[in-house]
Amino acid sequence: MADYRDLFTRLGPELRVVNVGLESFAETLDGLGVPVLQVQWTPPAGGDPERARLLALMEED
Amino acid sequence: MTTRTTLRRSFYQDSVALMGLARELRRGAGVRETAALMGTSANQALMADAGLLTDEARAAGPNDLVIVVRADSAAEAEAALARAEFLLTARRARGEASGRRLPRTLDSAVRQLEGANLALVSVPGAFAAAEARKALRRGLHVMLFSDNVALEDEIALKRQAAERGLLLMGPDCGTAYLGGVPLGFANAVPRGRIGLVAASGTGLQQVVTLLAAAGEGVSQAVGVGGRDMSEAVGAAMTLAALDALGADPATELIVVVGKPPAPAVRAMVEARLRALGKPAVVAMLGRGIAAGSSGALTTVTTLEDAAAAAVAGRRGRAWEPHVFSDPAAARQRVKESRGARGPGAAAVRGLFAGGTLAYEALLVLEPLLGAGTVGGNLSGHGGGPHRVLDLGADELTVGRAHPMLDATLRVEEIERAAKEPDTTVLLVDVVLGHGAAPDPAGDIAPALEAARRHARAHGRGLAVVGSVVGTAADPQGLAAQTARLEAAGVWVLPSNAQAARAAACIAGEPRVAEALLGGSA
Amino acid sequence: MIGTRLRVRALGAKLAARLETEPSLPDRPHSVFEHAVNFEAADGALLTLHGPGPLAAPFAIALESWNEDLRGGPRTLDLGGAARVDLAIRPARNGVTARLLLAAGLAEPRPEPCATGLGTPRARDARAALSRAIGVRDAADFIDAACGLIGLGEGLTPAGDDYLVGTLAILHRLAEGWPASGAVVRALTARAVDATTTVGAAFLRHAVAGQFSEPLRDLTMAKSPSAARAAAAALARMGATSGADTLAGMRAALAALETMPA
Repeated sequence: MADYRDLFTRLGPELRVVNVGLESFAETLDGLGVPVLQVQWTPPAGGDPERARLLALMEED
Repeated sequence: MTTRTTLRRSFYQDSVALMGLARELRRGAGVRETAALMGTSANQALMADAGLLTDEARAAGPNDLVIVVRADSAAEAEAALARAEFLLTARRARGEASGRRLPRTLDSAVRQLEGANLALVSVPGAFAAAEARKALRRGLHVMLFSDNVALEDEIALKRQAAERGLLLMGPDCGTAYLGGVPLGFANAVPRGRIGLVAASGTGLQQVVTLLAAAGEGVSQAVGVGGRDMSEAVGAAMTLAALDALGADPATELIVVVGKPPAPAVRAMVEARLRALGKPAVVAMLGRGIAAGSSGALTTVTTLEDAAAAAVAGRRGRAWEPHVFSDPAAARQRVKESRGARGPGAAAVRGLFAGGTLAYEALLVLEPLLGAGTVGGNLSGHGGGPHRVLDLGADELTVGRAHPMLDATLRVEEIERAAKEPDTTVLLVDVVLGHGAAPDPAGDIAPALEAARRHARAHGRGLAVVGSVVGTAADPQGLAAQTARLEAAGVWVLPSNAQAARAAACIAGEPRVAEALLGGSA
Repeated sequence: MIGTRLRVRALGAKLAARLETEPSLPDRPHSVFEHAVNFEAADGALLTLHGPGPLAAPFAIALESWNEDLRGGPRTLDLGGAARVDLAIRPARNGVTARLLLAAGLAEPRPEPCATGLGTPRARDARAALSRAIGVRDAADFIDAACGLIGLGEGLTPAGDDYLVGTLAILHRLAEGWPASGAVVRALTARAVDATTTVGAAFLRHAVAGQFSEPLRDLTMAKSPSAARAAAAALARMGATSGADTLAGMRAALAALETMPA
């Protein structure tokens, strides 16, 4: 298990966010000048959560 | 059979997206018939053929997207539309403003945004774990706003995060502050010296807004999700966050906000806090918790007390919980309201947008009004006659927007409560901040005024008591929102706990007001 | 004011002539998609910008690179090195040969599924009426049936519009002068403006004037069976069902033209 004590140092001076989901979160961050990129997310595997789960497991090495 | 319509004016989205949308709609439980078409007159004829041409659909123009769903029940129709709305929102994205090619996956986003260090994930729960896993694999910290994530997934994700020293905030983490940046539904608060770890978003919001009011600020605030301090998860993120705050030079005092965890977990958390060597305040919202101090660790039982103890700790002062910030004003208002009470049973009706605020209200009301007398939909609630409702609870928000964003459900409940002759006090919360509704006070004020008028017309007084969780710097403005409520006759108190106490003084036995306010009521 | 210059790789010849005199884009896009951005000029004309690749519309402009931030700000098109592509479909000199080439290109063992909207009773009736009108060369019936298809079905460019564009491509190639009379042009254009989306209307207005997207033009003007088949495959890949809907319209028109006028 890694050491969390330097967490905030590692995080660095600037938060740079990838937003997956509710767009209003990205809009807020953008309005505050925080670098943020919105992902145009759609449910994978045709929207079937079980298939998506399996797909995601397969995608891992 | 119910038919529901959504219209998006001047809505441009490519066919691939619209096809995905149509597929998603048809898959909904109980859905019988759907249409997702541009509102051209030819398509309106198609919809009419299928019995789907509602009035809203008829009002559409050729460049408007019309979505109509017919389902077995209203809830199922609305759920299908809510899913469609989500898809449309998630896809529409900021491409409309930026004109840049936007990434469709988290991986491509990370490639595109150099130095990305946090993924904020709020996709539906069934898919959220996979997204969080991808983000952690890529070395990003994760704020997992989504709820309905399986416990096994939470445990596995936090284990994965721990291997790399990354944050996995959540699931069901609504609020956080990292490096001074407000994340999720968060208020505008100053940067400062107090670090927080919270199992609840609105709980965190109540504490930090009160800290801000006292001139203090936040160094970092880590959300850990409601289940982190359970035995199964073992406070994994809480302990990690405490280690980080302990070593953070900018953090001089630590506040932990949660519900009482299993005794073994609580012992672990307290031991870690003591080991850090910084003054600490622990707010445990639950029954049977004893407030008190031991060394540098202070335990409190309300969110307001957490803020007060933290402020006192920063200023090197001893601290006493106060009951009312302005006892004289409270005495006056309680006297008036008690005097105007009608002949009925005198019940409190709490209608809350924030779940933790509802729970805190329940914990404050119970000892004052009597164990088992406060019913509602919270865990461990009693029978009645009083009632506290968390309007954001899962069973109430199927197919509807959350009450933090949309006041429709709360307005309905206010009207319903006003008609009950026993209702003496309405107790409400108004939550401001980024991401919240633009005018939450204005959304409920007319209904509250109408409720009081209705009661008066039936020969009884109806008191409305509430609090505003917000700061002057919030987009909605604390002062303006407070003024709006006061103009509607609401008694606005400085905290949720005080508002609950005020409600108990008005509706309870005379001894309640005597005990809390002194003198005769 | 110069502003940023966007290097154009290719555009339609007619569009190039228009833009030569006015190469600046409106400040704000009309609509934004993953692979294309639309701009609406002051006169209401639609312009679509996309990356390198076949011109996806007769009013499309293929840029050299597709990483530009097309947010507001003065922008002009640099037409210097751009290829001017002829997007007009002209009547075939030899109708028989042209028909055979098109039949080869449009023949598919398994036609791609088109939008379900085209399968509704209303759409089937309009399609049948359209085929009948073509078969007997009745302009009035053609207008009626076409108006029933405009704006009909799924998609930002409704399926009926794509179907009709495919039909018009075939008619321009194989039914010289018909139905492209002034009355028909005026009727269809007027209907398109009111009855369908902005993008659909743009496609229809251009189609009535004989201007089409590059893949559709390549298929209709193909000089060899293999070129025709390749172009049909490229067209089928366009949009979700747009390409398939266009091909469906082409097949129906081709079949209808086999019928000799009484």
